[in-house]
Amino acid sequence: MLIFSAAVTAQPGVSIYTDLGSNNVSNGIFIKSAALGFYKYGKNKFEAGFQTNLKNNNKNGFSGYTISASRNISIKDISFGLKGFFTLTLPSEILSETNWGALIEMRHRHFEMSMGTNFRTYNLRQNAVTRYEIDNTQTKIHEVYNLMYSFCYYLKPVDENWNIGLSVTNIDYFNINQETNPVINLKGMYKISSPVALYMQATYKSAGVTNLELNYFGFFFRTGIIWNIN
Amino acid sequence: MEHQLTSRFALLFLTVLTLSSCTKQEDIEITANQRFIQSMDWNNTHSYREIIVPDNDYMILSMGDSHVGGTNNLDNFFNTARMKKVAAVVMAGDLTTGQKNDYNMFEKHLPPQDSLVSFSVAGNHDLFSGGWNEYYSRFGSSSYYFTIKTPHTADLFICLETGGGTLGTRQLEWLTNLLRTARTGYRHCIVFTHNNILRPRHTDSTNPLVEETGALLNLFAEYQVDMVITGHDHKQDATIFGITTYIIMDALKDGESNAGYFQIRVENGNIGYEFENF
Repeated sequence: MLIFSAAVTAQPGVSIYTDLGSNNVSNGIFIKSAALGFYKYGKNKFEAGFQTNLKNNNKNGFSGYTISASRNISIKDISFGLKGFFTLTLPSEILSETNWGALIEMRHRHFEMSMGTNFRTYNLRQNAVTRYEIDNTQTKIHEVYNLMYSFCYYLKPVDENWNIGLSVTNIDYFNINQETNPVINLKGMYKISSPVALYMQATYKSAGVTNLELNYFGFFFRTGIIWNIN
Repeated sequence: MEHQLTSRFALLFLTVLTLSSCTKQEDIEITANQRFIQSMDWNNTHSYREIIVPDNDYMILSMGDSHVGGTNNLDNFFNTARMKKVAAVVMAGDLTTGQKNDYNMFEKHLPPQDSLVSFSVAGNHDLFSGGWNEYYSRFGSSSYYFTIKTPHTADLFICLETGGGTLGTRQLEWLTNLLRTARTGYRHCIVFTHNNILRPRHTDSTNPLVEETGALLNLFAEYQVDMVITGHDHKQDATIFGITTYIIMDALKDGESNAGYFQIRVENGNIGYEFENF
């Protein structure tokens, strides 16, 4: 996840990435792309983005939307970010999933850490309600709170020009897994110039971690660019 | 300095890799897809079962998480099923701890098929310590379907294996194809599996990843599955989404304060249910 810096001036930017991967429900290779725009103003940051399906068994062209606001806070020598977010994803033509929640984000010389909670709701979309004559009281499931976490260790200090990191997390931009389903990311980042950075990520997903009966679920490779405009 | 960092990173990477795969090698080798292939091999030599009942109304009992060792509740369950003259019982996983002696114990208490028709699926505990081989040698397939035929109609019952936290690609494909080709030929459709799909309470038990949860919710809604019956979480819940009722059963395990089973009644063309506790 993008961690904002406490710049005093206004700073717009954009992040674009593409995922290529496969998992147990993708029916072959999937390719997804996403764009996120952000605007930093002093200690505040606003971010919004969408995800598109380029190749997928999901027939929705746009399959995810996210919006978030965060603020950097310092208490004595401890600096951390507070973030609130909302995501909407469309796993199929008849189903949608919403998540809202809050995160505390911290970074230290080699570490980035996020912890928080989210609340998930599955919804049957209107076309399903009409098609299957579903009672309006039976179109939503609200799940109880879920623990969100991301622990990332970087080989070099986090502000270096290039870096490699390894993380364990259940959070992604448009996908928040249950706390019992952590995924492993190996990430690389390279700052081409002061406003532009390239990043890559390999993600491995397994099922049944807390079942103590592991099974492969999926993987994807991500490559993207972050451009801090002006 | 760089060397020190590299060593530290390598150590962390290896630790995470080890933690992410801390299960016995024999368990790793049998994947969800491999278990499904074995189940299909078994299905190819044992045709699907059709239970014919004399009345339009009938009853099924289901249980999960007996975790044998203890067999008091298991015996009570089987005795109740015989007393109620049910059409069948379905045992939705975690029947044992995966140990051979517990499988032997379970088998010793399981009534013969001619006195009580029973079906089972494997749960995560049944797979421990190479438990799949023990399961397969006794029960055979863990991915199959059976039907109940009444004088006027027929209902479809699908049993799925989710002990590994996922259906796997092949089982999902099989399920999708089965629902696509067969669902319309039956009045009701009920799915049994071990892992609960939804998280109605905060719990440390594993569900399918959200991608798979979404795919299953979609499939069950699209093909009008009436009920999905699971165990795993040991605490009863019934959540309705679309026309599908998602059930989590209490555990049958001896010593559980809420130990019990689940009763499905098909009456006057409708499905009714009760959670029954000992």
